Amino acid sequence: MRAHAALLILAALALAPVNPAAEVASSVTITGSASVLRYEGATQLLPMVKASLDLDSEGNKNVKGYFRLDSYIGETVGIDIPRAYLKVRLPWFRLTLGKTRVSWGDGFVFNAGDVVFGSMETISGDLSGPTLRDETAWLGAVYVPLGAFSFLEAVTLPYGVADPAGTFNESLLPLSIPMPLHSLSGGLRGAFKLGRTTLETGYYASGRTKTEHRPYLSLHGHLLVDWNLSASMAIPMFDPQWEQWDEYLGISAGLFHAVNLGLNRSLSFRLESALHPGAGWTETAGGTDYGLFLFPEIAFSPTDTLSLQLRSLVSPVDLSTLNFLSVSWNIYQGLTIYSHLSVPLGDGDDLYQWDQDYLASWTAGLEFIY
Amino acid sequence: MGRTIFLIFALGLGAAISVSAITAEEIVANVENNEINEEERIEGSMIISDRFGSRTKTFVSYAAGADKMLLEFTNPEERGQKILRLEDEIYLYFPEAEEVIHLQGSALKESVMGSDFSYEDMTGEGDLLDQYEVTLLGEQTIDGRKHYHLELKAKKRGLAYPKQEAWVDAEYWVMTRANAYSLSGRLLKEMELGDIRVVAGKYVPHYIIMRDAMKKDSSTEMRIEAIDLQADLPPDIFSLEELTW
Repeated sequence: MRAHAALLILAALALAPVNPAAEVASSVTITGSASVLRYEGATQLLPMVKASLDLDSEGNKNVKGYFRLDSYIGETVGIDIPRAYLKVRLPWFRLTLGKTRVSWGDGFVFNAGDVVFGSMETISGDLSGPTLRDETAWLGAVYVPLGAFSFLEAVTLPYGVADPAGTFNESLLPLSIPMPLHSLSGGLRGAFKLGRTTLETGYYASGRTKTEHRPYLSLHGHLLVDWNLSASMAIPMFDPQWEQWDEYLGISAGLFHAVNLGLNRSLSFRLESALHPGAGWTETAGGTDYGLFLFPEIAFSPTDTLSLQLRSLVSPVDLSTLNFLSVSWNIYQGLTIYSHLSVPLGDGDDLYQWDQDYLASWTAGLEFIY
Repeated sequence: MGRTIFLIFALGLGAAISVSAITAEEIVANVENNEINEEERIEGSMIISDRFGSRTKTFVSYAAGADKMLLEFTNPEERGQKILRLEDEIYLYFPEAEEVIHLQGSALKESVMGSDFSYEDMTGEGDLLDQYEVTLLGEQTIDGRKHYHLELKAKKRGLAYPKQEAWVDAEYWVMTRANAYSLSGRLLKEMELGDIRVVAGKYVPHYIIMRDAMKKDSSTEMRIEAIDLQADLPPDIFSLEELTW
C-alpha cells in the first residue's frame, strides 16, 4: 500500500513541468504607534513598534514557499512566526504544509462556517485592519480542483488552533515530542456553484482542547446586495446532550453593499450577525456568552488615498457596544498615516464596559511597507 | 482571444466611433479586432500621482478572450493580491487572510488600489456596442495622423461614464484620446494612449494616462513593461485554484 502511494507520487512528480529555481521576493513592514488607553483604572500610554519581514518565493509555478517573522518592540521584545509554509502543485491536487491559514465559510467578522479557527466569538483590540481574523496554525492541506469554481479541500491540524500567546519557545526540546494520533484535528470541505450562489459544506473534527464534531453549511450570493448565510454545529464527541441541541448550533448572516459616488469616492455598508440560539438571552452580571451579536460598518473613501471607517460590535442582550472610528491616509508610496478611536459604551456589568482595560483607547501611528 | 489590458482601460473610459464611408460600428469592430488576442501575458505598472508624489503598483496579468483574465500585484504593498475575471464574475484573493471574495453588484465599480480604474475597467467589460450608442462626428488630424472623432452615449443607466468622446487612429485602429463627461456635460476624465508599438502584427499602446478633471495635479499612468501576445497559458489558469495559489 505504502509502495503504491510512493509510486503515484513519483509518477506525479515526473509529469509535473520542470520550472526554474525560485527566487526570493522580500518586503518589510514597520509600524510605529502610540496609544493612550484605559488600563487598571488609569489612563496610560502604550508606545509600540512592530516590524515584519516577509520572504515569498517567486518564479516557480509549482512550488511556493512563504516565511514571515513578526517582532514586537516595546519595553521588551517579542517574536512570532505567524506564517511559514510551502505549497506544492501536482497534476491533480495541491499540497500545503506548514503554519498558515485556511478560510472556510464566508463572513468578515462573524462566520459560522469557520469551523477550523472559529469566528463566532466577539473580538476586541484594533478593529481597523482590512482583515480582522487572520489566525494561523500548523496544518497540512490537500486541495483538489473540480473545474474552475469548485473544489474539495482536506485539512489536518496536528496541534489544533494554538493560543496566540506564548507561541515562541526558547527550548527546541518540546518540538520533538510526538503526540497521540487521536488528538489530531481535521476535516474536509467542498465548494460548488449553484447559478449565482456558492454553496460550501464540510465537516471538521476537533481533537484537542474541545473535542467536537463540527459540520457546517455556508451559502453566499448576490440579490440587490451581497449576502452570506452559514450554520454550524459544535457537538461534543463524548456524551452529547441532544436535548440541548440549540447550545451546539451557531448561525451567522451578513449583508454588504458598496456605492460608487464618482470622482473616486466610495461608500460601503456592512451588517453581520452571530446567533447562538442556546446561549443567554437575558443580561447577567459579567456575562459574555450571549445569544446575539451584531457588527455594523460604514466605510467612506473621499479620495483615492483617504479612508474613514466606523465599525461597532454590538451586544443587544446587555445593550453594550464597542465603537471604533478610524481614519487612514496613504500619503506616500508604502506609507500610511492612521489614527483610531475605540469607545466602549456599557456599564460595569456589560460585555463592553466603559472602563475595561484596553477597550477605551486612542491610537495614532505610521506604517511603512518597502 | 485576449484583450490587452491597456485597451480594456481605454475602452472602459471611452469606446468607439465615426462620418465618411466607414461607420462608427465598423470602427469599433476594427479597434476590438486589433486589441483582442488569443492569449497574452503582460508585465506592467500603474503609477498614481498626486501633489504628494507618486505611488507605483506593479502587476502581471494573463488574459484569454474578452472574458478571462487573471491579474496579480507584485509590488511589496499588495504582493500576492489577485483579481480573476471569468464568465462575467470577478473574484479577489487576499493572501493575508487566505480569503476569496466574490465581487458582485456595485462593488465592481470600486476603485482598484486607489487608482482611477474600477475592477470592471481592469478586467474587461461587455460588448461596447451593447452599452453605447456611437456616432462618427468627423475626422481630425492629431500629431500628424488621421483620426476618427467619435461620440458615445450610454444606452442604459448605471454606466460609469454616460457620455464620451474618443479619437481613433485611422491606420492603427487604436484609440489615442478619450474624454468622459457627466450627464450634464461636465468633463470628468481625460485619457491619452501612446507609445504604440507593433507586437506580433498588432498595434499595442504601451502607456495610458488618465487624468481626473476634478482634481489638480492628479493622474494615473499605466505602462506595459513586457508583453507576450502569443503566450502559451496553462488551460486551468483562470480558476479558483490558480487564484488561491
